Amino acid sequence: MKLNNALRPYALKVILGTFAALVLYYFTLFDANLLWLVETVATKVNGARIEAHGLKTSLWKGSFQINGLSIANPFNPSENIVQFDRVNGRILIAPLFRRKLVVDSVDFIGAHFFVERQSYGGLVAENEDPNSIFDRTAPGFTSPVMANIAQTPLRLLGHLETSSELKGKLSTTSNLSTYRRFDELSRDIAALTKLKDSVLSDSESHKKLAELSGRLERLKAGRSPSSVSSDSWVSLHRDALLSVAPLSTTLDQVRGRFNRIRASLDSLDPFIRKDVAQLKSQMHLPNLDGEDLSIDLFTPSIMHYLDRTAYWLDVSRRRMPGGTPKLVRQNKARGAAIHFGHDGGWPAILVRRITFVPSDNNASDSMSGELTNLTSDPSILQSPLAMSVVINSPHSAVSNLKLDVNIDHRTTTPHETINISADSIPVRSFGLNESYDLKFLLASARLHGTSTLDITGDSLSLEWDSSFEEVKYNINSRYHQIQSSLEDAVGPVTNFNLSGRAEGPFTEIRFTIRSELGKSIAEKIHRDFKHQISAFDETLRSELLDKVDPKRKSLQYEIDTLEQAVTADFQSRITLLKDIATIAMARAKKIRS
Amino acid sequence: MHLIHFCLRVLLYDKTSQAIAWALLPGYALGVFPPTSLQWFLALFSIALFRVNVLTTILSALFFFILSHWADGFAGTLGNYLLTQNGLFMKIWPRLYHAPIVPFTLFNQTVVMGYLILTVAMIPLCLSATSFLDSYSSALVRWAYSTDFWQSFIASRFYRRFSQYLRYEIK
Repeated sequence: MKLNNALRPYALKVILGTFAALVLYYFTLFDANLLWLVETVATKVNGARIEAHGLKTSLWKGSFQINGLSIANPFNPSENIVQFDRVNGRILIAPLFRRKLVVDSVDFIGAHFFVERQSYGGLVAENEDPNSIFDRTAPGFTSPVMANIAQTPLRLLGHLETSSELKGKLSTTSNLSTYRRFDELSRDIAALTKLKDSVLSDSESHKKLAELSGRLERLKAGRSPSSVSSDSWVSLHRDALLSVAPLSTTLDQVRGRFNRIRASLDSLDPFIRKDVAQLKSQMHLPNLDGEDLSIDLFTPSIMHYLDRTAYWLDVSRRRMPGGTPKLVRQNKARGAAIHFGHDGGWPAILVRRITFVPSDNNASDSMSGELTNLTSDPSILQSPLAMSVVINSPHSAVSNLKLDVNIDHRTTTPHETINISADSIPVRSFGLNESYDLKFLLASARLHGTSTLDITGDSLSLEWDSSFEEVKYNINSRYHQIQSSLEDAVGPVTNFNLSGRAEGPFTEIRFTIRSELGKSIAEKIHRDFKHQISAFDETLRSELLDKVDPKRKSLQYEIDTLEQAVTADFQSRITLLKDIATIAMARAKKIRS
Repeated sequence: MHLIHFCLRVLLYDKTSQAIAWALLPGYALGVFPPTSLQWFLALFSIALFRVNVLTTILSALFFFILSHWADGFAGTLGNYLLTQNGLFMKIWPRLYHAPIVPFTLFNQTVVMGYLILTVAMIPLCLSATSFLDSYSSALVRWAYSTDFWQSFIASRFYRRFSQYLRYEIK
């Protein structure tokens, strides 16, 4: 086929036309469409509106400028969590031809925090995904630890107040050791009943008795006493006595077994104690013996934040995988992408520097600092990501909030460090316990202190030393006693220190936490609820005894009836044999005399 | 109606054996490569530039797209082997990865690399399809026209309605 025949007519015109249309599109609609795309994607990621007044790009200079960038607060969409006066950025053009995105610099200028919005910034109204950027968790990362901390004393305190639950639990529980003991004893009684039947219908014993009775009758029926020798009577006497002995032994054995069962029925206390312990554990009653409840109070909230940190950790490890300077492997939905290192080469994506510059119009809020070396291939770049930012916002009561982040994924063992310190940051609604029975929050407080999170591979180490000041609490319980007890405990604690440490693998984090608040609450609820726990034990025991008593009495009756039947039968046979022996001895003596 | 007529003309215009056989190649590229890769765009442009049968391209793209759900594993394994084995290639890949334009082929993705290698197998397939159609297309068309399905189709009201637009195309 000739080339002219192979080519479509007007093909080049179509292609050139397409190119011209693209150029026209860039100069007319590209900026607006790019802004819409950025806003849409960023809003989805944030979980609340991210908007800008305008976006201007220059393809030849490789620069862009965003004016009036506002980021709505996903937890309070009526305000912006932060807004910037403008954002300037510069992209290197040459690496784009090598399919490498290298952002040379991005400047975020003029930050303002917690500014009220003119329009609603949430997404729920439009049925969009409301999952906030700050509220994403890494499933499975910390779930074993979360499961362990679910049953804290404060969560369980309400169980002491619910007597209906006790009755419900007793009526539905069949796996009590007392019941199992009853079953064993019932089986013993059934075995004894069988034994009784076999003993009472023992043909040998009856034959022997009949034979001895027959012999007695025959000897008595002799024509004259002299015709029967005394030896026959002596022999009858001996045989009768010999037959008594095994019957007496069997009777003693059976009686011994009856007595053992009776003793078992009378000593059920250990089983009842065991059942009380089992029921208590099933009902998750609180352990109030601790001297400091800080771990129980603060672990769920700390785990809440760790769980969210784990999400970002997981994202950073997937997007910035470790490797060697020559080769990095990144798993994708379809297979994997292999990134190759080369002298003078760029990583696939690199943001060299993001700078936060305070506003130039003397605004009260300020955010300064920088982030360097944000890249998809840290091991090829051979530089870790570093971020250091200081935030001040007097009108939001944020003073000197410092955030230092270092993410080092240059090797196959990732290492991340996050340091946070603040002279003052406001705390709103810090949850200490949220259960059906009790909602316990730090409604508002001022927090200052430092914390250091260091993660290497799957192992973390978190340390913090902080102070809560001007604390106001919010306590709501279904039960008056719990509410008043906690209100009394936290009343004097308006300022307290909170320090601690968490370490270990993500799935087995061990906590050490100390605070005056934890001690005060532990002391108070120990004092107020300890006697209630003892009373609860006693109630449980008596309820259990009431429940098992009819069964015990029924078994005792069965034993008594059985013993009576067995004893009566044996006694009658023994008496009969003894009578035969007595008669035989008397006749023998008479003949001799 | 005129729009449908135009679409049918575009789909069925090039029906020489070469146009049909070589339409498999862009179809394969459109079906298996990611839409962000250079070869996907090249395939798209090749349809605009060269006389290939558009209907065959669309059908083969669909066929290879469905096939890729099963073939991704094999292509990924093949690509992974080539991209990560120590040898001659380990000196070539970094140069290509940092060269201009070449990285837009996404050759560094294991699945794409696997399919790039399998593209070589497509060229003999296209050549053999050309000679097959040259030899058997008339017999094939005669057989297709004689089937009950086609006979019932041309007797349908649908065919009668649209045959006026097709009379110059399907003989």
